[in-house]
Amino acid sequence: MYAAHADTARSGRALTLVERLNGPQHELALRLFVVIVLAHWAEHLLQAVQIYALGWPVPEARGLLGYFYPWLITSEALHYGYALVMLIGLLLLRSGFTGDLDRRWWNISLGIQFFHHFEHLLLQIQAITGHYFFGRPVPTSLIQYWVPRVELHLFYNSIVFIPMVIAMYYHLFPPATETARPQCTCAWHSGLTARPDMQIG
Amino acid sequence: MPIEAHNGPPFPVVTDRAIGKYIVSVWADPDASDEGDADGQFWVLVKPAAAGSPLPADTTVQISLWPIEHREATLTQTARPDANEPTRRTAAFVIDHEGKYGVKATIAGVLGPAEIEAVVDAEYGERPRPFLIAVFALPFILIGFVWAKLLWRRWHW
Repeated sequence: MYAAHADTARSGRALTLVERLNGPQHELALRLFVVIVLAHWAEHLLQAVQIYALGWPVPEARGLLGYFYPWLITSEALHYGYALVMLIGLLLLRSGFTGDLDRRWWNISLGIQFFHHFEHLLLQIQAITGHYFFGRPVPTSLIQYWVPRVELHLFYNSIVFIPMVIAMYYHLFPPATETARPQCTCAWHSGLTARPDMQIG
Repeated sequence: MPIEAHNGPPFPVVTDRAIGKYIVSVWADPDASDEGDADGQFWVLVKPAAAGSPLPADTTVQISLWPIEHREATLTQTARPDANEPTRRTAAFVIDHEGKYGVKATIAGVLGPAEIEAVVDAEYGERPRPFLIAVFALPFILIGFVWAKLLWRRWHW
């Protein structure tokens, strides 16, 4: 990818949006993506604070968005929409992770999120055919079989988020053994490597 | 049927219990609602005890629900058969407060009568369990750590 960008630069061709997002604007795009992810977690945290710290009745505790738009709290479309945003973000920003470790962990996160969507597909198929897995009375996802009554939305978001953060850590702080050259400015020393008097080891 | 993948899934209350000439399972998703929504859902899966025989068409299932301390406030519905699977019957109740509820399935038909009772805990579907506060806070701690380390490295180089 880096070579591709270098070729593009040499040829004078303008970068495509995806190339920009994974090159000079990867740092900004990644930050925006993290803001979206944290905003989602903040909604859940705020709801818990409203219930357990502020003592609000559960039906009134809907986070910030749900406070102004109550219908959102029970909207399956909102939850699925967020899962879709996660999938698109993980796919779109993937090629900017050029190292071995950061790419590996980002791929793990992407793979789990992809499986999450596969689970949604299985639920749709069950709903359409009327034949439910494992003899259950409603459409059931695979994970529900192993972890009964799990809060799936949080479960999936947690197991997607953790490898994503590890990937970001290795992306920002690449180990000395990492040989791939980054094509973005995310790494902590990216601004410093341009200085001829500095050597980053 | 709406696909509430992110809602708490139903859980088994009774599993494959032999009652009379039936094998019965009861599943529940007893969500409370302050808005009059029938979010308390119950399913009864009825199979004839004789393996391989179909469930007679005239078999009916009634589901009754009551707050455990107020049996006199019992609500009863005839459970609807599933269009794709007639052995699967369902009914939905308005549960206006959290707490323990009794649930009873009453089966009638040519195979004879049968009854089964159980107790379920109703709660608001949106209530996160307290330990989840740690889960909700974890992303901020992790991102905060990465962000702080980045700033520290850049400032001190």
